[in-house]
Amino acid sequence: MEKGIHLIFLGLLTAFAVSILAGSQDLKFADEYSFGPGFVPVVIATLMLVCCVIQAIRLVRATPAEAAEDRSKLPPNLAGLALAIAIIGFGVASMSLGSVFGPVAAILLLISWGVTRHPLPISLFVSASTTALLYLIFSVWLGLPIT
Amino acid sequence: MLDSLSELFSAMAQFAAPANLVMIFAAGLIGTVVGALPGLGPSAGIALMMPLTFGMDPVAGLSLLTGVYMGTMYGGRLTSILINTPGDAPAIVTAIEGYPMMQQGKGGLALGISAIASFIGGLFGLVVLVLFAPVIAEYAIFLGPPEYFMLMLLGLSMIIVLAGSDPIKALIATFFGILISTIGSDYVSGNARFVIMPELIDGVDFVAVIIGLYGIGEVLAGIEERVRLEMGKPRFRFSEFVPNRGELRQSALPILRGSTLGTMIGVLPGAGATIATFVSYITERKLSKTPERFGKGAIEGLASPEAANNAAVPGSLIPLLALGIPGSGGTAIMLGALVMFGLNPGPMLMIQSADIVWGTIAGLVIANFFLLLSNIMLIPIFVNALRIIQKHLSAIVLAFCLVGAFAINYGLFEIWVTAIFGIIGYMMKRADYPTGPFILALVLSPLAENYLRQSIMLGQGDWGIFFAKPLTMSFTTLVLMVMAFGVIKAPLMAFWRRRRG
Repeated sequence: MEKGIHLIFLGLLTAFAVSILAGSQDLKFADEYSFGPGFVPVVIATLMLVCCVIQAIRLVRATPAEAAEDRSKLPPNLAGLALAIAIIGFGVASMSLGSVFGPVAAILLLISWGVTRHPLPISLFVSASTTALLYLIFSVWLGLPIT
Repeated sequence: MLDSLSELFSAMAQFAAPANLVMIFAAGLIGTVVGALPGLGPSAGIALMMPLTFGMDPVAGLSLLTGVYMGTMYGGRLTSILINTPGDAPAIVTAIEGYPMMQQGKGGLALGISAIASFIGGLFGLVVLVLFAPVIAEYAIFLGPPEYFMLMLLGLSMIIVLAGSDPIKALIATFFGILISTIGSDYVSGNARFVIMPELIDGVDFVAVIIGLYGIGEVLAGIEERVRLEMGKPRFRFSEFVPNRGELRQSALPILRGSTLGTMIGVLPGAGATIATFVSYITERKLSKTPERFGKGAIEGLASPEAANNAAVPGSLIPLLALGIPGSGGTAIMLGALVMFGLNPGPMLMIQSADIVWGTIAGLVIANFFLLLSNIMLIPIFVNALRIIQKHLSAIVLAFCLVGAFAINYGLFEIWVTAIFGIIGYMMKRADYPTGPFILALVLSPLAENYLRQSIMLGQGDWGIFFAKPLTMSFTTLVLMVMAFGVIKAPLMAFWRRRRG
C-alpha cells in the first residue's frame, strides 16, 4: 500500500510543480541586475519535477522486497481512514452554516463512535466534554469570537 | 556575560507573576503528555499549541510554546521506559536501557535518573544559551545578505543530508516547502504569484499548514495504524525515583558528557536531539569498561542520552535567537511564532526585542525546574492521563486542530488548508518523506529569497559576490562541502557496510 500512496503523492507533487511552472509564464525571470519573481518558482519547480521523475523511476524499479510493507501487527484500517476523511470533509463543509463548535462536536462524536469504535455513551461524553473544554479555552479564556 | 545574567534575572523577576507560572507549569505538563504519545513529537506539540497563543502577549505566548517544546523532551522517555514504546525519535535510545531496567523492577529508578539527567541537560544547555547567544548576536550584526543567504542554505542543505536515509525524498520535501512559500504577494516586485483566490494574497498560512501536517496528518496515520498503548497500571513508591549516592556517582559524568554533546549537536542545523542521543549513547558505550552491560539496563546508557536530548533544545535555540536561523522542524515553527508575534528574527532580535527574548529564556529556566518536579512527583498522574487520552486521542486532536485553524482568521479557508495539509501530512508519513525539511523550507524560503535578491543586487547581477569576501567564501565552501557529502553519503555508507561485512 505504501507504494501506491507514494505514487499518488508523487503524482500530486508533479501536478503541483507543473501548475507552478505554467503559472510562472507571466512572471519576470531576471533582468540585468537581479532576478524577478519568476526565478525561484521556475528553478525550484523544474528541480522538483526532475526529483519526482527520478523517485518515480526508483519506485517502479524497486523489487517487491525493497518496496515491502513493514507491517507485523494489525492490518491497516483503510475503511476507518476513508470514513474519518469523509467525516472531516462533511464536518468542515457544514461549518459554512455558521457554527464551528456544533460541527466539531458532531465530528468528535462520529470519529469516536464510528471510527475508533467506542460505545455511544462514552463517545457522547467525550464529544460533549471536549467541545466544552474547547469553548472554555477559545471563547471564554482567550476571548476569541468562535461560536 | 554578566550583562546576560543580569538581563535573565530581571526577566525572571518580571516573569514570576502567578498567571505566568501557572501557564508555564501547564505548558510543561501538556508537553510531557504530548511527548509521551507515539507520533506526536515536539513539532506536533508546538503546532497544536500555536492557536492558544493568539491574543497572548509575546512573552507569554513564546513561553507557552517553549515550555511545551521542553516538556515533549521530558515526555518521550515515559512510554519508552514503561512500555518500550518511544514517544518520539530521541526517546528510542532511552528505551534501549530504560525498558530493561523496568523489566528488572528498576522502573522507578530509570524514571528518576532520566528526569534528573533531563533537568541537568536542559539547564546546561540554557546556561550555554544565556552566555553565548548574545555574543553570537553581537558579531552577527556584521553579516550581510550574502552571508545570511549562505547560512540559510547551509541549514537547509544540512537538514537534507541528515534527514533520514534518502536525500532525494528530503530534497523533494524541501522543494515542495519552497514552492508553497512562493504563493502570495512578492514583496519586492509587488507581483501576485499563483494567487488563484483572494484568500491566497498573503500566502498560505503557516499555522494552518503545521496544524494540518502534524495534527490531522498524525491523526489519520494513527487511525490507519490502529495505534493503541497498553499502559498497564505500574505502581511506584516515591523513594524508588530517588537514586542513591552510588547511582548518582555512576551517572554524573555521563550526564555531563551528554549535556555537552547535546548542546553542541543541538546548535548544528539539521542535527538535533535524535542525533545527539545516538552520539551520546555510542560515546558512553565506547568509554565504558563493561560495554556488555549496555542494552541490559546500563545507567550510563540511560543518563547520557537523556541529558543530550534535553540539552539539544536550548542548543537549537542559539542559532534561532542569535541569527534568526532555525536548524530543525521544531525551531522552524518557533521562528514562525516569532514572525507571528510581529518580531523581526535575526541578530537584531536580541537588541530590538531583548525583553521578549530574555522573558522567553526565563520561562524556559522556570519550566525546566517545574518539569523536574512534575516528572518525579506526578508520574502516576501522567500514566493515568496517557491511559485515558490515548484511547480518544484522534478525536480530541482533530477537534483541537479544526477549532485552532478557524481561530487563525475566523474563516473556513484556513480550515480547508489545514484539512488538505492533514492529508498531505498523512501521505508524507506513509511514503516516509521527512517533514522537517518541508517546514524549514516553508519558513526560511521567503527570507532566503529576499537575501538572495539583495545579494545579487549588491553584486550588480554578478553571482561572484558569494566568493567576494573571505567570510562569504568560507560559508559558500561549507555549503558546497555539505552538498558534496550529501551526494557521496549513500555510496560511502554502502562501502563502509561492505568493508565491515
